[in-house]
Amino acid sequence: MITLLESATWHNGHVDGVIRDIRRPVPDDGLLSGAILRMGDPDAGPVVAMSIEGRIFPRKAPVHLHKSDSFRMALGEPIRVGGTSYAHGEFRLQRADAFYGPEYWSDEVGTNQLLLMADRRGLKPYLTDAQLQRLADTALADDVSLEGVAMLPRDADVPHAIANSFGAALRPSHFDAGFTDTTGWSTLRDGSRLAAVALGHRESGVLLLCWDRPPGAAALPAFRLGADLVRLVVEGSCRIDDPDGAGGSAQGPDGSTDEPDGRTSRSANRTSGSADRTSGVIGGPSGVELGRLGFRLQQEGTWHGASRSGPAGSKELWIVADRRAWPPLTTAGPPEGPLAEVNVKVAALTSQLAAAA
Amino acid sequence: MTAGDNPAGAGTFVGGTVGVIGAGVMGAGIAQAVAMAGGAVVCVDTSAVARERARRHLVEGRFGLRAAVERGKLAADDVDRVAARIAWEPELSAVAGATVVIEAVPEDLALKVRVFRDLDRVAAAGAVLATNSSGFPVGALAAATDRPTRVLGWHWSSPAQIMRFAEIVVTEHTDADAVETVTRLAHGLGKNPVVVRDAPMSWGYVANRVYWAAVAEARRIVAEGVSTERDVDQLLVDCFRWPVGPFTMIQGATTGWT
Repeated sequence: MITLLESATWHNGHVDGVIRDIRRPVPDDGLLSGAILRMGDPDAGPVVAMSIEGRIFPRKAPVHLHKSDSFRMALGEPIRVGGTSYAHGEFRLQRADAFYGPEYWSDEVGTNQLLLMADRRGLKPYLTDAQLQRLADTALADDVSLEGVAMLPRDADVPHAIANSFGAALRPSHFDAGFTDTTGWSTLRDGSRLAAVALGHRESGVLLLCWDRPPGAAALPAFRLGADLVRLVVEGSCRIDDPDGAGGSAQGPDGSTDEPDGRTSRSANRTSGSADRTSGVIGGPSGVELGRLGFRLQQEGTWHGASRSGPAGSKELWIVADRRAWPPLTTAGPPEGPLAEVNVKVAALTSQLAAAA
Repeated sequence: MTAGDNPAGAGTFVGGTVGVIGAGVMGAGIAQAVAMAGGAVVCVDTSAVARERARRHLVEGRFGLRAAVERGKLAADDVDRVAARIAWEPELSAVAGATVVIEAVPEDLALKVRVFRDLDRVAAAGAVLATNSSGFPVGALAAATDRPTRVLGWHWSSPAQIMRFAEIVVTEHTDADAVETVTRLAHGLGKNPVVVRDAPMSWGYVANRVYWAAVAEARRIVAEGVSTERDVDQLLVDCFRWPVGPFTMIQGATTGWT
């Protein structure tokens, strides 16, 4: 189950929002800038920070490690990790238990990034310096996003692994890739390109699907996935229909009903009926259009509407909290088309992980 | 000729055996610089292929010993003698007798941390451990050892055999004696050591921080359509007498100089 640090109003099992351009004044109305969410397993599932603003968080972090594999992607201005600069859409997969950094944000007003820890118990940074560690521990003690999470100790054994579908090699504790150059990704029958990455727990860890879908790529049918899903538009746009083709209903295409959890907050964008171009989310009577940096959070077991890429195509990151839940189900049963082609990639990743174990 | 003689005339070598970890472009170049100055070197690389390639380039490479002869930096008769000063070894324990060990493995922090942990176990108790990192905080590597006072940065530039650059990076814990040992050694190799302070929150020490800031601005200029990579390079060469512009520099540093 996806849990937002700040509560949100869920609509048919999902909530849509946008990672704000922080150069603008922070508005009072709905936004999810700075959102931190937990996904999947209630104890060890992933945690995602959808945005980090340099004005609020420290712009620099010293060398450290986490007891979790992690994924970070620059969104907007560049971020730096060690000697590497990551432009918008470029990302880094970092192996657990390996030192990296220092990290910093090069822009005076900060920048956005998507940071994913594959296992929330690995969120605690372990530093090389005792004094800095004390400061970090103090800050962690005050971090409400970590309430109730038992952090893995420094010497914990973490059965983690990172694998990918496009042949990137860990060198030796991380690899870089990104949406800026997708030529090395697999080409699907509809012309889309796809990269799949597994990280975290060897069996139940996270699945990342990176899509580069051209204009006119095949529409994806409505589907239901047995794991939480985050879908982020890195470039372009995508249209997502309501599951039954009519907004406001909690009924899925198979007649099932998703129970909204009833939580409300000013911090989430409701999509239905809104038309806020600046937010990257345009709502309509029968669905929503996610623009650049727009995202959807979809609870496990709920219906995700049919979707298609926009006039300029779409580059999207999908985060699946537990890769064992793939493939999803459609109203016609097992998926066909691009979703079915993903199955092959996921199976190959699973084989890679098994062979490396 | 014995260790201490300096056929290349680069400086006056002082100190005992120098250990070099990694026989890549930088490690092999560092080993050559020490050997040409008259020092004994143990160069460690677990890869037999890397060791063999380094051994070959030492003599025949573009900046190797034969080229040094052609440039008048080395007597032809000294080629074999200089080459013999370098022992190419597969095991880290081979540096146990070194007074200074220079780590030159690929620029991956986790890898360097592991190397420093292992080096700490095999190196002589008083040996100075130096990293040729391009910018990782030295304090992070020092913390991986039980001898943080004997760990510092010695950042070389490529080609190490030629460039006088020697950025010596010290933490608040580094012994003055360790700094003195390394700066004296650097002078002995004909280098021009400059001591700077470690910055735990930044990558790049001094040279690379300034350089990458220039590169970032150059990239912005090209992205904005103000100029092209080629023209930016040309302008900086002509204006500031840089040997090459920032884009050519990146190319050279990543794929080698042609």
